[in-house]
Amino acid sequence: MSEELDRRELLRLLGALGFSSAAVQLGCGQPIDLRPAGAPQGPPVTRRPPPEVTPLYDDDLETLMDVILPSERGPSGEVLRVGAVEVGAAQVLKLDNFVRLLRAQGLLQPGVLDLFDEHESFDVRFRELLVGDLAILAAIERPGEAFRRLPRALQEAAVERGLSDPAVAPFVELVRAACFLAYLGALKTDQGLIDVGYPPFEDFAGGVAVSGYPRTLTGRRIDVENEDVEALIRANNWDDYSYNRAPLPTPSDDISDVLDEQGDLR
Amino acid sequence: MDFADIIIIGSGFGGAVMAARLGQDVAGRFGGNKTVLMLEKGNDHTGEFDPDWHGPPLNDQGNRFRHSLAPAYLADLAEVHTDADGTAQTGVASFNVVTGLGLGGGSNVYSGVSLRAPTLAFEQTRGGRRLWPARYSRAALNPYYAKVEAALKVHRLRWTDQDVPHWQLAAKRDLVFAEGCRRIGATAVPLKVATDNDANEGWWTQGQRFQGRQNLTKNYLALAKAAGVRFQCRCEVREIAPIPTGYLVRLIDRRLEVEREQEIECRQLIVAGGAIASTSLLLRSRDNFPGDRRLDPGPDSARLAVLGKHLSGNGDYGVTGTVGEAFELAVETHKGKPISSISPSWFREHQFVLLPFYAEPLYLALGRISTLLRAEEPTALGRRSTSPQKDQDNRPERSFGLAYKQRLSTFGRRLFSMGCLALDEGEGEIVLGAADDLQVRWSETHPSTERRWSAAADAMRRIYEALGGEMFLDGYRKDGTVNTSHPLGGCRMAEDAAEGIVDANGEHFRNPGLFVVDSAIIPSGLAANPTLTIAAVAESIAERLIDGVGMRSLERRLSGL
Repeated sequence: MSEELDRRELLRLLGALGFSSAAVQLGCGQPIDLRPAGAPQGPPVTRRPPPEVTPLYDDDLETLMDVILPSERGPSGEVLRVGAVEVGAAQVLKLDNFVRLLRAQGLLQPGVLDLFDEHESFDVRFRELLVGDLAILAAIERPGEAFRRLPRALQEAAVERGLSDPAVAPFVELVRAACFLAYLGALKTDQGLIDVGYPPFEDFAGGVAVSGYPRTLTGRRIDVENEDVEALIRANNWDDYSYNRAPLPTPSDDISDVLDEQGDLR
Repeated sequence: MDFADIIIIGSGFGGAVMAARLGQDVAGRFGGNKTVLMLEKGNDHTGEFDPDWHGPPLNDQGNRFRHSLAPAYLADLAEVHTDADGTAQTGVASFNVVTGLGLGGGSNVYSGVSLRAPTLAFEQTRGGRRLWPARYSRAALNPYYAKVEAALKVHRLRWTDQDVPHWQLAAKRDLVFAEGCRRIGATAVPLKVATDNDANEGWWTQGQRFQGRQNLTKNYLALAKAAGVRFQCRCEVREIAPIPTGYLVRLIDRRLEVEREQEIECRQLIVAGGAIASTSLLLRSRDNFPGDRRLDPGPDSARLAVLGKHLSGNGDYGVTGTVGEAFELAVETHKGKPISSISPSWFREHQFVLLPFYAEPLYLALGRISTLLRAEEPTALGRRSTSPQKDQDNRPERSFGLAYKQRLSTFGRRLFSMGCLALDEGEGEIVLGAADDLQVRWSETHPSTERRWSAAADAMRRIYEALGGEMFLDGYRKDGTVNTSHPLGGCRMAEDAAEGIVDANGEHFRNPGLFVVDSAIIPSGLAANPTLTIAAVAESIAERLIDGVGMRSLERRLSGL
């Protein structure tokens, strides 16, 4: 097990026992700044009772997902634009081949899998480890408070701290990967893709994003065998994929000696 | 014990050509008396080739392709091979190779780009010796390129529809690319692609209007089937061994619920699983070939002929970024062909070409999400990157949270990916781990490749900036990670046994009747999409084998003469 993960386990143990600051005194790797992010230097200020926060989610992991990729809500709490929780990030963690996928994405850091028994459920163990981390990160921001009950600014500060801590960052990065995989990977819904400017799937249940069949500007599929396609083009009712124009030439660049008339490199 | 006269392992651009040409020849000469069998590890995505496998229902286009990013589906379409110890990790330089899977091999995931390799690619030397066997040059391959282009219905796209059907136009993204090139003094031109009567397809590799894309099942494999070639899909060959009458193939047949082992004998064996699969099959089978039939001199050899070495990534280097919000043209990269223009302006000086491409949602979801990141340290790894972004309090912008999410909100219109294809030094390697698990490695980027990639990254950054946008941090500049979908080599062909594993005809130097005909034998990077070259080399080999030019003819081999 790596030094970073030893340190991580020690932090977890100390955090669980309420001795977060002791970890620093014990010199476990780099010291952790226990002040809230951005707090000014100087003598301690008088503590005020923390404001009451009604958590959006009952679960720290879902709360973390919403901090990473938030839903956008109206005045009465209705979801106006989906976030990670709504697009199924938690389900992504349960995918059988999520770990394999993470490998392919280059998102597994050395030693992370050492914390997992190959016979146990990845998502259950992962949740257990991460919730422990979040408890520590939350305690640093506001002792005694659960992560899900922190105000959003402190949740964000905790996440930022987690991302900068080499012992915790791999886990937060995995959650981040799950969030964006669910949001942009269209696993449960295409809403994330739509939000970032892609067209809706033609048939989400059928797994069809863009079938390749030509369409009118209003989205009607064109029967190319039986319709007058040229007439549609002339009527400007063709969902064009081309600007149908040549770029301006680049007079200073003569490529005739590297490209032949057929379009192949010489 | 089962038997086939010829077994072809793998159905990509090498295997499909060999199946079609040898199948036609065998049918013409021997009628039904000789058998050609094609073995494919993956699925029959069309349901037309293997009558003994009954897969999921076909869609209304008559195939099993979908538009899906579900990992289970993508795992049937492509494989990702990574380093030893699973080092595809953040902060660790890793090597990832993507290969196509299923009947049709690489054509299941390719973009149809069909370029002839430049003269320079064939003339590369190492240690004063030409990498390619003497008979290969651009001029010598031109007739075979033409045959492949005819079979794949390759044509050159255009900017305007004055002379061509509307579907033969370069996409919107290409005009944006061309404008970016123009602004920095370079030129973009439309590409040659293998499509026919298609439309404004997007998500092209995953179930577009199937008639358009020239998947190999629609041409070479269809010819093979018509000639009587038999197909077994979902059959993974584990090892091969020499026997007195030819070769023995041991495989696992996964067509039924319960997988079973099978052994098939053959007279002529053609390994065509692609650079990774073919090389790893030979590596796994090495102990079956003792003494003077050994497959390679072994890892201690100082010579070039070492199985698994010299794997080229074809200089693949991709980046993602955005054009500026104020730029007048929408990219709309999901529309049109996935790759349809090229800029050769840097080839003369740096031996790379640039191509804009579409793979965004796939790239974002399955590729490297780190590409969404901006560099916090612009001079990271000694390469200039995009400028660090600051928030309103002048702190580095976060890569999470509402502001980050909202920054993505116009992403789809502006997102724009580019990549380079370059000559490289074949820095990759294919090895087997302790448990015979397949691994790929990229030990160190050669300075000449580094120079080309740095020049390419700089050119792409300038294009983004000329369009008012920015280039995101990519895996190579962030972690040193190399990604390729164009692996070449590992079982290179050469003039003699000191330099390669197989001869110029793809036949093993010490094992007559054992051929490798696919990307594994391509001895160098090409700086162009390699499918056309792989198929042209296969056409050349098939012709010589059938005519008996420079080797014993197929007829004599099968007649036992």
